[in-house]
Amino acid sequence: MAADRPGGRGDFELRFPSDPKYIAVARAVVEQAALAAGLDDKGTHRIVLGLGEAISNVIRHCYGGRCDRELLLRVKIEPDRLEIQLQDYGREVLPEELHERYRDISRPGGLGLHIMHEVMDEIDLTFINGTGNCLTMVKFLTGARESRPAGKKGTAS
Amino acid sequence: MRITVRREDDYAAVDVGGSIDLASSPELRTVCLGLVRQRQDKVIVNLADVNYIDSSGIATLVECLKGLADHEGRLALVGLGERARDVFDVTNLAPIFQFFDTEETAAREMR
Repeated sequence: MAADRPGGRGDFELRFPSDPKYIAVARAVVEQAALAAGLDDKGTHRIVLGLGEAISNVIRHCYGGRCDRELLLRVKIEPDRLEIQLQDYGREVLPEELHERYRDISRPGGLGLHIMHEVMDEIDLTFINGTGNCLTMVKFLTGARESRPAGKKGTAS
Repeated sequence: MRITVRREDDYAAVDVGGSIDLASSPELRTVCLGLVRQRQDKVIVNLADVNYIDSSGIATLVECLKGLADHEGRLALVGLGERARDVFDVTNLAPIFQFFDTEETAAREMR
């Protein structure tokens, strides 16, 4: 993990096992990155929450609960945005799966996706043949959000 | 996560601390559903020392709420910090739960 902060920029990488006990380690990295990017406590917590849900979904749905796989977390701090990438090496997740939302409490299983869409400004998913899924989540930083082009929140490719 | 169950005169109290996430929510589920199976009619979950709760924790509490309601039991959540409360707001599930500041208030209101 390395930090480079010319002009408030920073890039971090963390490779970690798919054991749920290590989700807290990834959350801690993103929490510190979000604070460094200038997000307040509530904004930081929401970013951390979104990341935690993304990792949980990978472990449960891409890795079938296996603890011996690997994930790669990349965090990029830009002046106008915090970008979080989560790379897995599991089965392909279809874009429509990313848009499944829970409807009521009789089926709370889609809560994690709901949270991810609520707390992030953009979500994008790509599948790389022979590798796995790369989920990119973006949070625009205060002031930059108003100037960005209007677009659909939570797009997936 | 730390979790303990106390039996009070007319309710069961579950004290939870730390993080409730994919790693720890199964333990919370075991405890809560155990109380449901025992047909406990009043359960108070104290979340004052919880610094993080994710969808797996929320889903566990929803399951407990529904299980208790099946035999007309009640669930109260107490002591939530801003972060924990925010997760209920983000999921739009706050309205189905009863929140109280303290265990004493919850116990009084559930009588």
